[in-house]
Amino acid sequence: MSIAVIRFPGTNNEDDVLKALGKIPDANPYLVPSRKGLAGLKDADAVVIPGGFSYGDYLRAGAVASVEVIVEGIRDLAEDGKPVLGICNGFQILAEMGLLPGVLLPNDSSRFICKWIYLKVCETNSIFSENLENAVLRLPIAHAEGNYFCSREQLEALRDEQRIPFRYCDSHGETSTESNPNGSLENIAGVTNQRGNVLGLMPHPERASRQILGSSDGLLILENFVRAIK
Amino acid sequence: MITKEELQHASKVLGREPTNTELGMLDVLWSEHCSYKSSKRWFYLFKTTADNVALGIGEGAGLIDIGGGYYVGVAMESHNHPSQIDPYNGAATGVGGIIRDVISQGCKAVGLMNCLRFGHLDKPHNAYLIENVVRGISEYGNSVGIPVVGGEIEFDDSYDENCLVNVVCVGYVKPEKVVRSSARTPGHHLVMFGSSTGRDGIAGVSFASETFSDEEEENRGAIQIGDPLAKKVVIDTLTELIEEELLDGLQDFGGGGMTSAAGELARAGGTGVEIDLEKVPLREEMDPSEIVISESQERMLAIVAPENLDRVILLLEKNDTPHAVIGKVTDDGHYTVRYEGEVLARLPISLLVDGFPVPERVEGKIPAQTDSITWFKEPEDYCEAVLNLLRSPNICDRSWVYSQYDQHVQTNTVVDLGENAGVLEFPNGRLLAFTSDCNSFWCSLDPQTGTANSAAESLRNIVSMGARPLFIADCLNFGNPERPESYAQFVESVRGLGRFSHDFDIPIIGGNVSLYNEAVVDGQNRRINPTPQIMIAGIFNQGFTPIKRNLVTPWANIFLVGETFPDLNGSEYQRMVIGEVKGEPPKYRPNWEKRSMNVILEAHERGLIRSCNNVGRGGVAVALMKMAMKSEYGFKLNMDYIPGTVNSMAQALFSETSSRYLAEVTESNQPEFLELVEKHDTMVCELGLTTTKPVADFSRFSISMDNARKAFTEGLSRFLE
Amino acid sequence: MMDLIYEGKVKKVYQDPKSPERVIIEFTDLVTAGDGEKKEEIMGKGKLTSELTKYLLGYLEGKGIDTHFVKAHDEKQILCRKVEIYPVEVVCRNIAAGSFCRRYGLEKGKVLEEPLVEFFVKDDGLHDPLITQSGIVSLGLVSEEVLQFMKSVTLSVNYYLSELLQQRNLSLVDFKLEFGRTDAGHIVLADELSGDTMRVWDTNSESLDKDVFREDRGEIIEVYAKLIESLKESKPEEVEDRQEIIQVIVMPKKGIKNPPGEVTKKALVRLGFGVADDVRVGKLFSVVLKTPLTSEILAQLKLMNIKLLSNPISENSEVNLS
Repeated sequence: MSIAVIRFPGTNNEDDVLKALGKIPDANPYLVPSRKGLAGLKDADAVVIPGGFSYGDYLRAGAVASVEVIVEGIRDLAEDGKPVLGICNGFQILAEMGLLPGVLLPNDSSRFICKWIYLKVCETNSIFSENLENAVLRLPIAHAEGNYFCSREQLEALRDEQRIPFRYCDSHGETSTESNPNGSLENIAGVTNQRGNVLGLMPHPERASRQILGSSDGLLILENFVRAIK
Repeated sequence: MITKEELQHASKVLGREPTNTELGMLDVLWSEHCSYKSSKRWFYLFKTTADNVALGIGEGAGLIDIGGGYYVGVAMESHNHPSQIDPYNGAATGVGGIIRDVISQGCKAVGLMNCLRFGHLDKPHNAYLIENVVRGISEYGNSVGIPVVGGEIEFDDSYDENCLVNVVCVGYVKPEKVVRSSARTPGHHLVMFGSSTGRDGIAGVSFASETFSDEEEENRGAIQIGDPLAKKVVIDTLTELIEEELLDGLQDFGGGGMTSAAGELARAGGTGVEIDLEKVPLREEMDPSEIVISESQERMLAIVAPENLDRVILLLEKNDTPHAVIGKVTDDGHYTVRYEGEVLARLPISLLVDGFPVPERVEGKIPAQTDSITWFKEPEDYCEAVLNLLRSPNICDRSWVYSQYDQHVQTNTVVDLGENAGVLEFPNGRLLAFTSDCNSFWCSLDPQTGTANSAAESLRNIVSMGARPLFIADCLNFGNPERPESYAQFVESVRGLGRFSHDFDIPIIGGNVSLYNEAVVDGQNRRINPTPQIMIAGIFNQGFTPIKRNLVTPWANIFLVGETFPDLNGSEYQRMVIGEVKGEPPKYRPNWEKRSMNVILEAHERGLIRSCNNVGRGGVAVALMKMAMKSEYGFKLNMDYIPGTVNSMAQALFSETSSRYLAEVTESNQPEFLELVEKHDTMVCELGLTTTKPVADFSRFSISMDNARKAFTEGLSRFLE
Repeated sequence: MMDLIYEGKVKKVYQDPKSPERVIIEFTDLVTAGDGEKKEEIMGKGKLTSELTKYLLGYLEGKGIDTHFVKAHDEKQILCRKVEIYPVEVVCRNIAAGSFCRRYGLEKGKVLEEPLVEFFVKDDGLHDPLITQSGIVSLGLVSEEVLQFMKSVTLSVNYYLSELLQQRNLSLVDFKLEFGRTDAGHIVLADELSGDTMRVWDTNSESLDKDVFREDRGEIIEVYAKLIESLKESKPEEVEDRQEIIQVIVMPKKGIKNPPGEVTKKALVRLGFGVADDVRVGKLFSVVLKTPLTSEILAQLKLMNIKLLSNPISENSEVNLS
């Protein structure tokens, strides 16, 4: 099996994701520059869209990347039930594509924010949060547009269908305004699609994949992702 | 602007008047920023060599061997004048420029640092400057994907008209992949790639080599605009070109644009260049004389052997990078510029790059200071005094700034910002620490001592974490060298740094000088404090985990290593109490400094220290409070015995004597630790113990850590959004 | 026998028997002036006005402007797309002449600094009164969007006609346009473009248009023939394309949090501008078109707004043609 890791012009976390996935046996991550188009995804069993500043975030984070040809290939893979993970800018691209509901608005502070946060693992019927019930994970965030927002209908659907696996919380697992770094609706840090095979996540699991970096909690999410690829 | 003497000299050497284009070229290369004509003559004072120095000062980046088949590279630069006019773009392009310096040596850029100076934030203009400088650095560095691993900020009225933005970039390269900045072989092609050329930054270096005029419009022409997306593409492209070893030489288009880039390549290689300007990809219509001095960003100049040209062009096209073959290397020792066949300039390289007449500079006298502390009195409320120090913008929490920087991209960051130094992991498994420091208040009182002590402060920061010093890079920011007193400050500072580098045997492998940081305001001359920014990198022993400064064990001893003298002149406490600094600043004491350093380093090696901080601005009080700030523990002190000659609690708490460290040592390690102190013949005292209550108990007074944290975090954020 | 759909003062509009979406417009030999008061039938006039219209509309089509013109039909007739004419006439003036001078007491021949676009209600009973843009929208005669579109195309037509006439040392003093809406919803230039609907002067400020009839200063047939002859010598391919700028304004939707706006407001207050109650930050895209604006292009742009320039979940987008 193999995992396609996409690089758009301006993506800058692709090496980090390749390194982190490389630690997981049988993951076989490989880099796909977006200009390869649909052909680039030919052999992919799963896709990761890493973080960064695709197209410089010049129009809206993720907007220009979301209309590239290769993105239709990602959509097809998602519809086939293959796992798709969008991290940070990747989440923004999945939202602009419409594969995930909602939009990532500018942070409340209107500034870029880089800090360590805690994630509470909420609903656990998602492949990404399997075996992690009630876990509190320590991961870093680094973004200027991570303020998740969606319509009331979309929020109700997300809640009813248990599609919010991760929310920002404090070190004890309590979600609160203080522990919300960017103003996200209901402290939402990640959402899945209806089928449950697509996850968009603002925090960076690949940056919390080695203890020496400050935490290896992110590896748990990545391992779930790899395990879900049949 | 080129002076009359310089013009006469050029005409004499050429045997004719220079053409318009030639004048423009001479103007940029003979500017202070490019030529170092006022400063170069003093660099012999620096220690610049060592066994592990692979490439010293002179090219884009300095390179040092860190073993395991890797060199670490560093470059440091200033972008002060543009940031005063357009803080966002000035700072962003400063970052862009320093990255280019490092990658042009063949390195992969893995870390950034920025050292900033502004006037006080209660003036809205300064708040505007810092907000936009930080945003510029943040948006550029984050976009390109290089983490910020260090930096520092200081505030003083003297920076009102001249803010300072100094930037550092560190990277690594394998020895066999190093690319040199020289054009060695006549017949090789000059290939430029990256963004297209426009009018931005025309004569930026010339602008940086003058003091600000009152006419803002005049200043406005020289701004460069950065494009981090383009930079990322250049970096990706360069990686491929370097991997395949296709480049014979490489230089980035920085200050002085094409004139400087090609000129320096030719000078280094002992060759010449000829360039056809109509081949240069342009963004807008430009006069040929403008093309040759434009400072448009994100452009590189490569020397390519004919047999490699096709492959290079192929890779450039594959990456969609604008490029052009603009000329070739010659053997005639001249810089020839043509436009559609017409020769617009033909200057001997030797004249253009180093042939400027050395200007006379007069070293004035530095006014002497006394060491009296008659102004000193004990604070009425010790709690308030300590809280005010914590709240002071020169001491307080800087997370408002650094939380805007991506610190983790590339997943090499072992220690985040907010500690004494940032730490990165390198591909050979070694950990390196990076820090930078400058106490401009000490320097304003005694530039030589202040500089040497600032360097020592930088050293103490990395030593406190357990790293041994590896190299120095510096950025010397001073006033107008044509004014004797300003020039004297510069020369004295160089003496101080020179002494330090020799005393501690640490090579200086990179640096920059920024002069003319003076402005005339309402007829008055306003000059910045002498600000020699000293960046020191350290390396940890294999397998060593860097020690942070947060108290981690209850009921451990807190030791103060080193003697304390009444060094209150030049201190933050003095600034707080009387509103200015005066008197002799804390002395630089190399011998004692070395002894303390050796105690701490050996103690770290033996794993005896749980947390450690050096004593600097704000004295022991501030150093202790910082150790408790992010900790769940507090401390209780007994300040009866402090080695040295202080005779009051306030003197002991706020003196800024050099060579001192605080170490958290558990009971069981105490005897061994004390043995080490004796072995290295230095002084120590047990200040107190760590406690489980979040209270800073100084015995005569105590402060709740809640209040301390509140004061510490509001220091900057109360002025900013 | 064709069905007469409409009869104007000097033209007749017939239903094209071969296609329900087309009409045949016939140019009669009648000439009128002073709102129909002065009237004469001059042989050959219809042929000339139809020739001028054919030539000029064809020229504008070549430059990318949508018109109702399909092809020539007969000596005095042209085949056009069937449109619903908007009840507004658009006039563009480069030099003061005619009623404009009377209205404001200006000297004839005064060159206006910028082309001036005016609107008139198309209503014979009211004698086609002047109306402001706000008035048009307020009375619901056409929507704001259609109004801006008409104005944009009018300025475009002004450029292309002026440049062409300039080649022949002729000045375009003023002209009147009418627009119509096709079944498909496209807005096209309709009616005629001839000496009846524009003023053209030579280098001596002599009229090559209906003014010679209005002011009894010459033979209209002679003058119209001269105009068409002159135009036939012109080189349309040498008229450079005119760039048109459209703006797209993207703003956060009402009720959506706008952090950049909040931060900006606080900074304004800090600087002493305390009267600012709310600030919202949006984006303005300035799009330069290579060819003139048409309904098709406008529709595509609106699609681009939804697909790319704005995020419909949190933002509204608006096209600004003015």
